[in-house]
Amino acid sequence: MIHEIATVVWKERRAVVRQPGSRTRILFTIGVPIGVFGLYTPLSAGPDWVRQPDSLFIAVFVPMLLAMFTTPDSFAGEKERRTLSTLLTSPLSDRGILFGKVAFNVALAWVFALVTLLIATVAVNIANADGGLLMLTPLLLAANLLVSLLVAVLAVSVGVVTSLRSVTVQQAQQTLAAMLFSVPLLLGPVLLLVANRWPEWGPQEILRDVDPALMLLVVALTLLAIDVALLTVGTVRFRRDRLITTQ
Amino acid sequence: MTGNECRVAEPAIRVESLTRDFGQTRAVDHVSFEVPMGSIFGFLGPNGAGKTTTINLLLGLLPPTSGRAAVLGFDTVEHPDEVRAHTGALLDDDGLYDQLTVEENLEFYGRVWHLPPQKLRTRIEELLTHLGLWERRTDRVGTWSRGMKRRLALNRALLHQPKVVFLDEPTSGLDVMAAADVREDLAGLASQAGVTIFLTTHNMVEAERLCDQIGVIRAGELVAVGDPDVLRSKTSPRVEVIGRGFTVEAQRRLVAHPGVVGTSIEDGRLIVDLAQSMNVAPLVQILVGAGAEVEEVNKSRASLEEAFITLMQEDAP
Repeated sequence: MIHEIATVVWKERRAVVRQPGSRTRILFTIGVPIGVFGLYTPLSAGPDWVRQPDSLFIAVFVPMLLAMFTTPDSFAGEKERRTLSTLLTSPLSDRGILFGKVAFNVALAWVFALVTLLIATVAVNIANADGGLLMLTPLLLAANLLVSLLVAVLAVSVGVVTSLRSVTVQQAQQTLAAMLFSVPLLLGPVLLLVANRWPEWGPQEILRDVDPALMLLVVALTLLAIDVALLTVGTVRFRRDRLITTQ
Repeated sequence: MTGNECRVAEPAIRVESLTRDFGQTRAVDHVSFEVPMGSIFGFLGPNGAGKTTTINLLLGLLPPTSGRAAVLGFDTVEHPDEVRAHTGALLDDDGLYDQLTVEENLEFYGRVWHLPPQKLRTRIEELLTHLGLWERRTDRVGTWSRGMKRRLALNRALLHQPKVVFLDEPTSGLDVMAAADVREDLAGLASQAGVTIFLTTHNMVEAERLCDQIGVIRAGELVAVGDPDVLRSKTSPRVEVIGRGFTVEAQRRLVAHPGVVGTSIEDGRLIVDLAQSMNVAPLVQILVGAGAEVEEVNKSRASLEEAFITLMQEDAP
């Protein structure tokens, strides 16, 4: 299994950066998250960025943004470019192919989130250089590392499930974007409204007395449970007999 | 049976009453045949007849609804991974990664089949040199023509030197010279390397030249299987007569003979369709007796294409 995963990762690594028209797309895919979350947000927040939960936007949105582009290309793209059927005639197991692709896309999204976090930290330090080094608090650093990884797995897993139902990369990307961003886009304004209208029921008020470490644990465990459930669905659906008849 | 052992004493492919349904549609209907080791088996049939589904069943990609199949002794349901580990396949699509180089495409599949790095390097060089494309190994595959991709895809299927290869229209899209080269390669693979080849094709000349055995599938049913001569014999024999004076009366007298099915004139030649192969001397006597002048009589051999068309038209559903 490890050899199979490594082989698929080897191929994915070479294929992902060489898609037609990929330079513009890569610049856009990388440039927007870095610009918004790696530069604009930390520079706006100032030195307090390293102490406030604002940095968690990176952990949540950056892996989603990257996975939204790479995962459909990896799964639905293989169908669209008609290379999947030949891959299925190889002795690679269904799980070897699936987990190889998942591992590559998760690693890509996670590493990109960490790079964005590093860029944001450097940007904050350059903009607020007064002799002292500004570093994220240990809890925020741990939260960023953990949440970004779990969100990367979540985004890629949703990408797998949507790609298996899609005929083209574009269709898969649109479905994935709708599924990933509908939750924060709908929930955000609602929480904001509640916080402004009924401050006593706002999230900050409710969570004021909760231990941040405990909160992180609960969030991480919830994400982990969702990840496991989604990966299980992906594993059940990524089967040769299903794939060969749905091309 | 597990591991790398193959049951070489058995036929390379054994299919017993293989059936596959998709909902209410029966794609493959109780198909049975055997392919001896080292032979070339041509699987012919119109589009949608069940050829690709049969290949998918033989590769263990789909489970049969009923019946069974074994490739190199490995049951396709119980040991599909072993089937795929010991076979190669070139499907309708080339399956090459356009964004990877020629060398990377082969290297990827070499890794998939666990070829040791040194052996893989040697094998890639051997195959690309054979194709005359070693110097272009760093080209992106996407920049190549359809014909070049098809030949590369065929060699990718042979990279790990499988004992059985499944080829779906291997010469489709190739120019005449390239197709001839591929046919030569395939013939050599079977005769010299002992590779068993299961190929589908719409090219009857190709099937006639290459195949030791041919199976004809129509609407999921195997309507004929055997060597090309046996299939050709399923078509009514005919006699071509060159000469003059093939009047209506002469033709009427011929048709009155119990061995004659019908007559027609094509390009001034008299074509006599026979019920079965027979001595033609009595027919010549009838013609001469009716005033015709006979210069030449040829017993024509039905082509595989004619045999195929006959099989497709027989009791067509």
